[in-house]
Amino acid sequence: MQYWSDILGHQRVQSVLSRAIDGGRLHHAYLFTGPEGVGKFTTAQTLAATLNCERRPADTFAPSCGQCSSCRRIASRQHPDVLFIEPTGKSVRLIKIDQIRQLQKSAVSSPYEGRFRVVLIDDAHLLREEAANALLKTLEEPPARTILLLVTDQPHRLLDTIISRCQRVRFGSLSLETVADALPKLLTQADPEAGDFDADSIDPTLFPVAAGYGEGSLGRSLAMLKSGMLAERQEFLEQMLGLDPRSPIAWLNAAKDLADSGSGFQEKLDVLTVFFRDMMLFKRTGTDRLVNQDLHELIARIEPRFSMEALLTTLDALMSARRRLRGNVNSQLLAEELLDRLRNPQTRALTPPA
Amino acid sequence: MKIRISSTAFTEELFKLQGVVSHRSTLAILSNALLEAKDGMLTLHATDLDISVSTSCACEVLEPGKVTLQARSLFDIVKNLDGDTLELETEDNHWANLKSGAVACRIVGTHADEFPHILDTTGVELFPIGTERLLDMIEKTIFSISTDDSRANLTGAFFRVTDNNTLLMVSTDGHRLSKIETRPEEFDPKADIPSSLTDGIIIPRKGLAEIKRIVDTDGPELSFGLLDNNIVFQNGPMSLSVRLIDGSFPDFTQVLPKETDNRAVVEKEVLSQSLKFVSLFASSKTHNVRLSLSDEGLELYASDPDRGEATKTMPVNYEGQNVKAGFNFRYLKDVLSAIDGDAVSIEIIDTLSPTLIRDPDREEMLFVVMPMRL
Repeated sequence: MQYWSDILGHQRVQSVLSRAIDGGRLHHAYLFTGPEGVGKFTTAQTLAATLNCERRPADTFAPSCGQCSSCRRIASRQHPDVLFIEPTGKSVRLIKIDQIRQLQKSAVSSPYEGRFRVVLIDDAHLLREEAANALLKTLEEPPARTILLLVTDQPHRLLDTIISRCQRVRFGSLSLETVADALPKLLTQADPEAGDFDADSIDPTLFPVAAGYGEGSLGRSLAMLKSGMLAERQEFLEQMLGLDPRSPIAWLNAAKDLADSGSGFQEKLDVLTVFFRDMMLFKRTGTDRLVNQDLHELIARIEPRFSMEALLTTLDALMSARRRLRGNVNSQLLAEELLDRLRNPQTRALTPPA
Repeated sequence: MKIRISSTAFTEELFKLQGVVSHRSTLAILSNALLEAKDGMLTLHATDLDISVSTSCACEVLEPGKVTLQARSLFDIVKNLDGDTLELETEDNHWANLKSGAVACRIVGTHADEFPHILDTTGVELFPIGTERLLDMIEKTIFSISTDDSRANLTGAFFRVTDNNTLLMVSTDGHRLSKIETRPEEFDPKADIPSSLTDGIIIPRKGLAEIKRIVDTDGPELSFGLLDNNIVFQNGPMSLSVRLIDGSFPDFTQVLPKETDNRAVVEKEVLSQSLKFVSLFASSKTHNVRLSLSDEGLELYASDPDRGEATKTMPVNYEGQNVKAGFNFRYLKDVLSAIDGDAVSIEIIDTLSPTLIRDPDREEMLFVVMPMRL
């Protein structure tokens, strides 16, 4: 169910939208931009529910009630006047022109029963070129009582002509406290995609850590928690940082494990990156503002092994590894090179084969 | 809800819904029908948001209630039952249990609240129109309704009550036009006619096709009325409401050709046959067939550089000037099949002016076809 009060943070966005409803001065198209997983789509869906809520007096803002038939059908995506357009396709996800044509066809007539017809376009940057051009026509000659909500975290991939025809609403990152507070509640909500994920198994001390990893994105924090990577973090870091510089077999085996972890490689690199960031912070300021708060003992133990310069070059290496991993490199070589750096922080000389 | 109902009656009512339930809509609920049982009646609703059908039949209501069930599969199940009566009972999770004779099955259902709002057609002022007359009007105009969605106002037939209290229906796709104006005896002009009806409304093609499909010509007389942006047709217990197309219909009086002496009357059957023959030679791209009127009669000619050419001349009594014009033969065929008399009158002004085709025995209707450049 969509409740206005469930939108976390984004006070400015909320006030922009509620004032527009209040004055009956809604723009015909809004472009919601901002980092992924901060609630752009949720806000869009809540706005759709609020606009069509049966208990809302005309031209006056009132939060969606969540009780009336309209609110319930919008939440279950069964409302005839609220259209959801999302990328389709298995390997390449795109929004196709047929989907836009369908929208144009329905936009010919006035809304079926609601006050407004609301069209939600999620991941709008995935509009195919011809679909984007078709959409332009609708944006230029907006049908009466139709509101388009475009949602994207990559606005630079949209046509300039689309951006200029929408009122842009910018979403910032959420504060880490907000994310940490919201995580337990989100985890307990039934999520059909989660499968047999057991929410109770998660240690509550991990919530602030996950919030730190998500960098203000609730979606990414949640994914981090569900991946289980956080719980295994200490073991993983101890293994990676405990490699004996004189034992190449352990080094190569660890590199192979890392390279073979597939999509988990990226997450593991994230863990390493955040850990090194924490070490750097710890070296300069002590335990303040660490993401891995629960690991400060480990940080304190490992930190003396790295000079500030070594930390910085390692961080650079981690960043470039993250980037190169997306670019189809040999992950085995990448892992070997990185781990060698970790086991020989000061000299970084290659050990001759035993 | 729990009901006991005759399977044949149920099948009959479910059939009426099949035309509007959509099979591949983004809204899953639209493939369902809403069933409502109370006071000894079962009412069924289905909608595709543009057309809504409601119908009802008597049944034994053991427990009143509402549910939505997949209309297509329900129809398939009910029509294949061997028992005479069917017992339908819903469970708490909205599944429905069906029992009839030796058959028992369970089908998925959803809560009735998920169904879109249904137009309440009670209290709408209805005007009797005469079933056959309306169906005739639809038949004479539906073929020339445009299918081009980019000009939405032409994707329906224009319908209005004229100042002379006649009913007018016009359709055009920009290349041809059909018009019929009648005065059904059943239509009572004394009643207060809403102003939107005298201004004219546009009824979408699919709505008209649906009326043609489900109206029972032997049943009670058809009546119609307006409700908000819908035209409602009532036929016994069945009511069908069609959302009208917003927009204005173009002023078609300007394209209606003026009187001309270049008029020939031919036998419809002969013209039809000749057209069929000559069109074999028409270009598959343009479908162009040329009609020439002269002292020798009506000559049909078609040519295609890839295939060859053909002419066929029909002797007719003609006293006008020598004229010729090219047409898409499919447009001519459509007109000929809409005309039910034995004779057809053709009036060609010149090569580029619209041509008028009429049934000489029925002055109330006319068809205009735009020529193609030869």
